[in-house]
Amino acid sequence: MKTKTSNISKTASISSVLALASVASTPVLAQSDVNLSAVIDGYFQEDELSEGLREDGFNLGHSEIALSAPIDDSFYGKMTLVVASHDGEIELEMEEAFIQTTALPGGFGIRAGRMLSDIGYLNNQHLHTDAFSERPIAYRAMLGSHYADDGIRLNWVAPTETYIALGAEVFAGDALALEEAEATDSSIGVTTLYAKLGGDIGNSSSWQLGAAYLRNESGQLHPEEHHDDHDMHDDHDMHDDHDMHDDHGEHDHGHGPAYGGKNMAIFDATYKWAPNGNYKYQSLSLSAELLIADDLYEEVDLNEQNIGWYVAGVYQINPNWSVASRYGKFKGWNFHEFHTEADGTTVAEFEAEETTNTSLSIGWHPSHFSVIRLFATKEEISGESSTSNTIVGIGFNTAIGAHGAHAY
Amino acid sequence: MLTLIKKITLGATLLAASATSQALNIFACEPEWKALAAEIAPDANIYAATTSHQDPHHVQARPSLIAQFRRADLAICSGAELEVGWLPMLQMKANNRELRTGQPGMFFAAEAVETLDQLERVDRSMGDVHAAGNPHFHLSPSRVELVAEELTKRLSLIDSANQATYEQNLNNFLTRWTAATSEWEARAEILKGSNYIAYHSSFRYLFDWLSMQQIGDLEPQPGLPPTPAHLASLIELSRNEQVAAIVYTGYQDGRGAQWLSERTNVEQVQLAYTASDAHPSLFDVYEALIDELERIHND
Repeated sequence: MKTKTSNISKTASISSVLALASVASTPVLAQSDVNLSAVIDGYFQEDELSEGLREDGFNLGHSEIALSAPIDDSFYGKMTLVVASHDGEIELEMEEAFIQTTALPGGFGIRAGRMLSDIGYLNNQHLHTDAFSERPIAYRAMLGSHYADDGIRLNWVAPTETYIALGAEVFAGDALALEEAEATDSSIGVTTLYAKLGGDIGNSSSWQLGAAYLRNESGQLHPEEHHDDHDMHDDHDMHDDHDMHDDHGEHDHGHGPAYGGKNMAIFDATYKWAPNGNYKYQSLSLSAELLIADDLYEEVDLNEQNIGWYVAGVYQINPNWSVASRYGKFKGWNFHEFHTEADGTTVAEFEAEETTNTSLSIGWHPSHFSVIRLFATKEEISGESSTSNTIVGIGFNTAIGAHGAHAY
Repeated sequence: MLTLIKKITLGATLLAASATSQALNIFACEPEWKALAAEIAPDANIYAATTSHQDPHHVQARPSLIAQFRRADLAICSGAELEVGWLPMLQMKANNRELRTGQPGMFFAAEAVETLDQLERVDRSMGDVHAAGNPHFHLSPSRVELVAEELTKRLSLIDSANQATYEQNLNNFLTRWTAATSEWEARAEILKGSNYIAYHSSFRYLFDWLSMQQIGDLEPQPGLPPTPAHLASLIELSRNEQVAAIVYTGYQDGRGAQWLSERTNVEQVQLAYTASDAHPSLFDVYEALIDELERIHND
């Protein structure tokens, strides 16, 4: 069922891209303010991280084609198409296709269409801007690496010296649905509220704090349906049996999260430093996020939370070299089995699994538009299936064309 | 009843009057435009997004900038794609409708002047170059005049109640500026034809104005840091040509200049480039520049 739906959208995506490509080749468009860009992301890694987007071997990563421009005096539009290879096949995904108001008064803005949710620190940033090959384990397990969906956002920026931004979003929720059936029950699957606060400390430092709440109507699992999936086990994907989208085995990457909860809270903190605020030669960026989800299972009252967090630091040593390091943990609850008590009552049993990732990444930047990166992650999983694995890889990431500015 | 209406009307009038007399908030992308805006609109709250120590090509669209952009009635930026890496993000994030490109509140100084080195064709293999030409034109006195005039028009459009004041400030500025320019030109007569190695094309307009020449660039390509091989080629160049100095700005890395200076015996100097605590006005910046160039010449 899921495959059919995605096939239809793929066809639609291809034809719209072809249409746009033919328009882009006309001189009229070339002279206007349309930004056409492509990010080429290729890599080799010897194994896979749990819940990750990247497969082992040589692959295209998160390559993208983006088209953006002011539409008219009132709107700006952007479309980002992601091209990735999975199991030797090319997969197209419409990551963004939105319009954004530019003319609303009072500091208000509305974005509608398909967009990256503005919750957390990393989620609204494109994957190719990351200093690491994969998102933190907390994002991989709870947000499907990064959460983009169809919906609408209203945000407001306060006219104050300290940056204060408030936002609310409503989304279809399919991309975060843990239960396919549940997703179709409601036309609004996900609702978010967020606040961001930020400022400077002297000339050299800046900071941002964020808090977000996400309600996911389809964020709960049903214990009885998925506990018998153990023959899906695979050497390098311990979580296949938890991936509820994954009816067809390990190679269908549904991109949805394996873990969730009806309610999720996200807290983030970022600090950046550069000597005298001059980012050209040297800079340090520290960030940390905490994701907590509860109401994990439907019908069963499991009084536990899925919790993930990470701390990351990126040090740009000089214009050509950067090093980055990240430590992250995720603790998630899985249904184990039903147990019948002596008095005849049935009790659901759950088990916690904890994943720890320690990552290191070294980047060589020949220019602002290209980076070649060597990366390694040590992954340790404790719980039912205790494992330890170190994954190393190398990749390149380059931008062609007028690529838009990146978020803080 | 009538007195009440009168009171309300009076109150509203006072409110409106206080609203118009409220100081404008001006967002300047670079310190040179903050300094210029202070000449024309001295009563405004002027915020500079960058300092003389920050390379305006490489700025983070950080939260404080978004907040200031949201508050501003007018933004003044060099344009010609200098701020292309961060200004669009501020425009997108700040939700300030008055500062959209094309609105009177968004003023790109490059639109008031003719830039040098415009290119027919640009590709990334050429480095950080822009088809719109060199955006570092604040060291061209005639272009500063043009920018001041256009800025005055924008201010008058946004804040018409104070139009007369802005025009008066402009005239006052232009009188002093023209006089100072003649003086600088007279002093710089001795510099004509002298050769320099510079970092980036930062001093392009200064050299153009005073008929000086940049014969070498520390950057192998615009935006790329000096490489050993490139610096070595500059040693060769300075053997064959008479080089007065190796010059760079407060935000450029002096190490390449120092390296070259040690091997060529050519003096390396960090020149005043834009407004700073040491040189708050554009007059101060130009004055310091001419002083320094004179000193180099006399050494």
